[in-house]
Amino acid sequence: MEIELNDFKQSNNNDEDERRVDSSPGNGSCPNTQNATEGVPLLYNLQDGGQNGAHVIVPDMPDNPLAENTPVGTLSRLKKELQEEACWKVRVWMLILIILILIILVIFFSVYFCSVYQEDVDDKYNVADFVVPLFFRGHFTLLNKNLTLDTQSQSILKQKLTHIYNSSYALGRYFSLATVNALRDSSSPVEYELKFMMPEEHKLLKEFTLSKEMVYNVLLQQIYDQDINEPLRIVPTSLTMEVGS
Amino acid sequence: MLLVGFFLLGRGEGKVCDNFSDVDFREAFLGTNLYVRLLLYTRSNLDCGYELPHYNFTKVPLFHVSRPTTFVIHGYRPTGAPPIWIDHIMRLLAEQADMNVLVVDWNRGAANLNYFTAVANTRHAAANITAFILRMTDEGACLDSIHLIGVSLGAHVAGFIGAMLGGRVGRITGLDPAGPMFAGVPPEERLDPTDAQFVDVLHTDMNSFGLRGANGHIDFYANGGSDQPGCPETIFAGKSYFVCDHQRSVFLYLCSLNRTCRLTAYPCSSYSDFINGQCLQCEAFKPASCPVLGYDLSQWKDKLLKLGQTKVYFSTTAEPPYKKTSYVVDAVTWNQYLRWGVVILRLHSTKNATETRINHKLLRFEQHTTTRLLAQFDEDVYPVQKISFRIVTGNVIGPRYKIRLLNITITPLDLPERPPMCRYDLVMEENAEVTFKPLSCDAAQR
Repeated sequence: MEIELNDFKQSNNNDEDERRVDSSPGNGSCPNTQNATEGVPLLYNLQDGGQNGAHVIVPDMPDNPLAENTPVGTLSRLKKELQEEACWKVRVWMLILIILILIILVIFFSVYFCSVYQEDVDDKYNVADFVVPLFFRGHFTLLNKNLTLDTQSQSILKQKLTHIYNSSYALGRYFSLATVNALRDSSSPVEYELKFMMPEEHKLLKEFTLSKEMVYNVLLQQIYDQDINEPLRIVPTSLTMEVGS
Repeated sequence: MLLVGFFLLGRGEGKVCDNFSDVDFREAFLGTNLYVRLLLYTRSNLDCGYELPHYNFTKVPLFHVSRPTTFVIHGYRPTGAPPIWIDHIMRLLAEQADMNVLVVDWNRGAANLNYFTAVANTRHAAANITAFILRMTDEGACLDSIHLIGVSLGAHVAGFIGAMLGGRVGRITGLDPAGPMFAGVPPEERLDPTDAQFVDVLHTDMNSFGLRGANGHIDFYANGGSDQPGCPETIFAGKSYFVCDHQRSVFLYLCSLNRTCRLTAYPCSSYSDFINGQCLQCEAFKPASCPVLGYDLSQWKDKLLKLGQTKVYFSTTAEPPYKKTSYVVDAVTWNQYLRWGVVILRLHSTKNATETRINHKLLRFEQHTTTRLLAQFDEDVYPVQKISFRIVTGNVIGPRYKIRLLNITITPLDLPERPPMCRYDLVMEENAEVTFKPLSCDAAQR
């Protein structure tokens, strides 16, 4: 014969009926507990159909069940429960506190380790590895035609080119030297030479980063961006560039 | 006799006009029987329609069978009210060429609370108009110069007419052909490319009142053909929630007839591929551009007929003139490690700025590989003085990685007169904006 045991649900609410589904109504021996509440202490034997003698242990009823519902009663019971020793000499409240601190620490450390600065591989390079030279040559004219290219202005132009390429994000690390040739005559354009140093393995670098297009346009866009009132202003359309050897 | 003569004369002078039938809601509720009227409009009587008799129309002085004739066929009218766009489309068509514009008024037949009755009436309306067209051809009209423009259910009426005439009609334009009762049916039971020499279709509401799939030689899908920008997304908006997407097809067509919006559409297999920038090639139509929505598709017609069926996609704004300003953005990074993110692009002119978020897909930035995206702006800011570019990775905690670009090229999509813009050597932190002055790529490629 099959026997079904139902959970006995204890309700603290005196007004609430204990609802229970009779598992084997056909057996006829189950007491009707529909109206049984804790307010009416009723200990009954849940022995369905008189089989096996399965008992449901009903906890001790408080002396005054109504007192449990008052806030003071709940609070004092909570305090009492928190004071209980969970294991060894650690009380329940200590255990809760320790778990909370642990959770906070885990969150804190995971955020910390995630946000800690990790070296950017793209910023990591060794200039000593750049051993293969690459030259770009070209010329440009200055807006001010009357200017004579003396040593000073030659040096200014050289500094300008050096500054442009040194401050370039992509080209800066490979840039080595800029040279501005002395002017042959006042009407002829200013000749310049740029030297870059590449690592041994430079196939892709030459194709993309140190391509003529890139080197030319980094300079060109800086010329376009330059101050209109600059004395040594380069005419953007006059800029030429060829890859040297 | 004198009275009749006076009456006819009066008509000729435009004193008595034949207007589109206005069926009141009570009648529509009870149901109307099919009655097809043909309202003639020409350049000489734009303000006053003339109801053309189905027989003996050669005696009507305004009607010249030798002229091209465009039939405008409306769709289902649940309330019986005349379509608000009928006057606009008639006037704009008359502006395109000296033609007979015949507004097919089958409001009695289409005005019915029961949609299925209106659907059943489409065949009868089509048979009626077919008979009229055959009489026109008997009088010397040429089927090649007949153009049927059908809206919603009217598109299928046009399809049926075309099929009854053996597909010899010059052209059928379907504006969001009706979907309910026509989805999944064989081609002969709906508008299809065999119905005319050339069939062009515009889709705007495929997910409710419109028909999914391709129905013409060229199918234009506005914003993917389903939900239109600016149309309400909730039922609380009332009637507009139901009709907005569907009616947008007519407004887009009116706008293109008006020449206030030049909507270029790009051949593609899907809208998502189009907005991901994968379908911006127009080589197939060279020397012409990609097809432009509108009345005159003559420069693409032959090519499209050769291609069989072509699906073309475009995006619009919420308001007229509906045109978005699009740019193809190509960026190449030199970061060793792969980065993913969405892009926010802002264009600045001296006066104003416009912004777009390309956030429908995470973009992949891989070393030495071109990342292509399509940036579509609601406003046209020109000339562009400055450009702001931001890559949003969504990383909130952790280090801010840098994204390094070798170059970025921003090319106007269908504005060949505007030069592409370039910038080289950019570095930006993820989620942070970088602003730069663009360089003309023409100068850069010297």
